[in-house]
This record gives sequence, structure tokens and C-alpha cells, in this order.
Amino acid sequence: MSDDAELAVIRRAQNGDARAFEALVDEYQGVLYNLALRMTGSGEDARDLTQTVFLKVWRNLASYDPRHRFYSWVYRIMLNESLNFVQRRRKHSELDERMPSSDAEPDDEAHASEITQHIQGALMELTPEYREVIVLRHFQQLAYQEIAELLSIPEKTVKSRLYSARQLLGARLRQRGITSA
Amino acid sequence: MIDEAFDALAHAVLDGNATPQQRATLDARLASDPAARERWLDFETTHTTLARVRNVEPPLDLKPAIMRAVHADRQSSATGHFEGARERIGRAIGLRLASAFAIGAVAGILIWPLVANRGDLRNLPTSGTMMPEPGTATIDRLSLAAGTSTLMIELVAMPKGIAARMETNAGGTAEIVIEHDATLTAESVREIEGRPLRVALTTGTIGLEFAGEMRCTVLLKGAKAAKRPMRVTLRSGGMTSRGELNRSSQ
Repeated sequence: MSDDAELAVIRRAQNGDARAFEALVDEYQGVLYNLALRMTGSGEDARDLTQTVFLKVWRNLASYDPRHRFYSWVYRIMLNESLNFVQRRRKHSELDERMPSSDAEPDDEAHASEITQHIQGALMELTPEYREVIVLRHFQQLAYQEIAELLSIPEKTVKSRLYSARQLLGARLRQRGITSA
Repeated sequence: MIDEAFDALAHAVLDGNATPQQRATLDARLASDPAARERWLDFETTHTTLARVRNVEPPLDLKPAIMRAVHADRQSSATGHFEGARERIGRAIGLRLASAFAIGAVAGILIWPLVANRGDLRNLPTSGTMMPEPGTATIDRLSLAAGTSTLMIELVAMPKGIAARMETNAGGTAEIVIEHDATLTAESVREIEGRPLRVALTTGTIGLEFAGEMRCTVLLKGAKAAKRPMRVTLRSGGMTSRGELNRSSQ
């Protein structure tokens, strides 16, 4: 969808057009679901979060400012929801944040391959701050500047955080035997 | 010796952000520094490993679940939502009407003798909170299609009148004309969502022009309103479709 076409769809959705909103769901459900999946490590939680986020987007469409990019707006809502969710989970359950969630069954589509499970496991061992820059750069393919905009931090901070996150992740992967020492 | 400058250079190359000169600098460093080569290999391996993670398709039932939630939210907060939409559209209509009024005042002087016998053309109030009350009975329904447009209209019984709820969709622009018994009075058009281009009432006639999707409810008051027949015409793309409501009551 081009920017102009997307803006037209957003405007229709802002006027209560559910079909237009459905087009936005088509456009963004994949990226938002994957973002939530990598942040939480659970397909089931990612599904619930994606649904919650779209409902929030629907309810708050009137407050969306078209001068900003729509994807930044929805990404930010998803990131906030995911981080809040991870914090709540850490606070209210006995689950160790450093372990993949119990929802991560082997037959879960999100964890179809063993290698992906290990990478996801290593990712979950990072702090949410490091995890989000890895997810945004490597799985969402965002540029440094886009990440900076999204997280409201300087580009320089994005780079340094990303470099540190990669090194920590690399060490975790080596410990898991995914990569050689 | 490994330093921050080397790390930045290595990450820039791996992220595809390095200039040819930076790549050459890195190559030279790797050729002469075994520790740098080892560190580069670690970075490269992490990159390659992360690249093996593929995005997955969301569950098939996700989108239907989202849309169900949206529709449920829309229904539960219909009044508030309609208020917002109505306010926005009402403002837009207000501006249009202000312009139209100025033009119309001049035009009216010129064409008044031609239209004087066709009844009063009134602008409709587009604000208010009247919703068909829960439990009100549906009297009749009609679906029409013409050209690139469709119209669904439902008549609902209201205290002292009826509400005609319309859902329309036009590929370009379309016009709806509802001819009703002259004893009925069209009170207002409410719950407007979408782009009405023109809303006009003459005695016994409701005229709506719109583009794209539009929903609205017209309130008609009068004695035995639920038993009065109505003729509905949809015009779009050079095509016309007609139908009747309350036909059985004729």
C-alpha cells in the first residue's frame, strides 16, 4: 500500500469504516504479530497482544496524527504493550524471564525449528531493552534512524545498544552450542 | 588490539551501512590483525544465525478475532463513536453548507420562480443522540444495487415515527432518493459515518448524495409512520435501481 493510499484508508477508518480498518489489519497483523512473538517468546501471547493492540489502534485512531508515520505509531503501541506484558509476567509469575515461556511448545508454529527455538531462548535471556533493538533491526529490518524514532532515543544510542546486544546474544548462542566458540 | 572504532566499523559493514572506503579499511584491518579477524567472525556468525529466523504467518483466526473485537467495540460504544464521527462530518457539512448557503442565496433569487412550487428545501440537523431504542422492531428491509453502488435500508419503529437506517457503498458517487408519504416529516439525519456530499429534504422526499461508504439514519415522524409506504431509488454510474418499503401495508 502506498503512503497516499494508506492515508486514505486511515481516514476512512477514522470515520468509523470497519472495512478500511480491516485493510489496515491485513497490512500490519504480520509485522505486529512477529514483533510480539519475538518480544514475548510465545505464540499465544503474541496472538493476544496483537488483538489487544489492534483494538487500541481502533479506539485511538482519532488521536493518530498523519504527520507521523502510521507504522511508527502502531509499532510503538505494540512495543509498549509487549514490554508491559513482559514486565507483568516477570512480576506476577514464577516464570523466570530468562527461560522461554511455557507456551513455547515444540509444535508451535513460531518455534517450528530447533534453531529458532534456541535463538528465541537466547533472545529471552537479554533484557527487554537489548531484545527490542535486536528484534527491530534483525527481524523487522528497521534502519537505525527508524529505530531511534520509534524508541525516542538518539541514533547513536541505538547503535551502541545494538552492538552490546549482539555481543551478549552471540555469547548466549555460543553457550547453547548454536555457534562455535 | 580491538577498539570501539573497529566494532563500529564491523557492525556498519554487517548492517550494510558502510561506504566502500570503510569496507576497504575493514578488509585491511582483518588482513593484518588476527584478533580483529576472530572478533569479526563472531559478529558475522551472530548475524548469520539471526538471519535464519524467519517471520511466521500469524494464526489464521487472528484477523477474524480482531475484527470481531472491533465490531463488538463499535456496537458497545456506538453512541460515543457516532458522536465523534458525526461531529467531524457535521463540521465538514457545516462548512459546505455555509458555502452553499452563500451561493444558494444568490442562485435562489434567480431561480425562485422555477422551484417555488416544489416545497421547502431544508438543511437537516446533523447532531443529536437519538438512537433506535433497544428492542425496537424492524418493520422492513430493502437491498438495492445500481452501477457500482449498493444500498441496504432498514426501517425500524420509533416512538412517534420510524428510523430508516442506511448502509451504502459507492464505487464513485451515488444518489439515494426516498419518496415517502407527505404526512411524514423527516426530522433529522443521525449517526452519519462516511462522506455525504449532499443531504436535502423536500416535502415527501429525502435526497442523499454520497461517495464511498456511508451509514446514516433518517428519522421520520408522523401518525402511523410504520404503515406508510416508501419508494427508494438508487442512482449510480448511469444506472438506476428502485424498490419499495412497507409495500405490504399498501
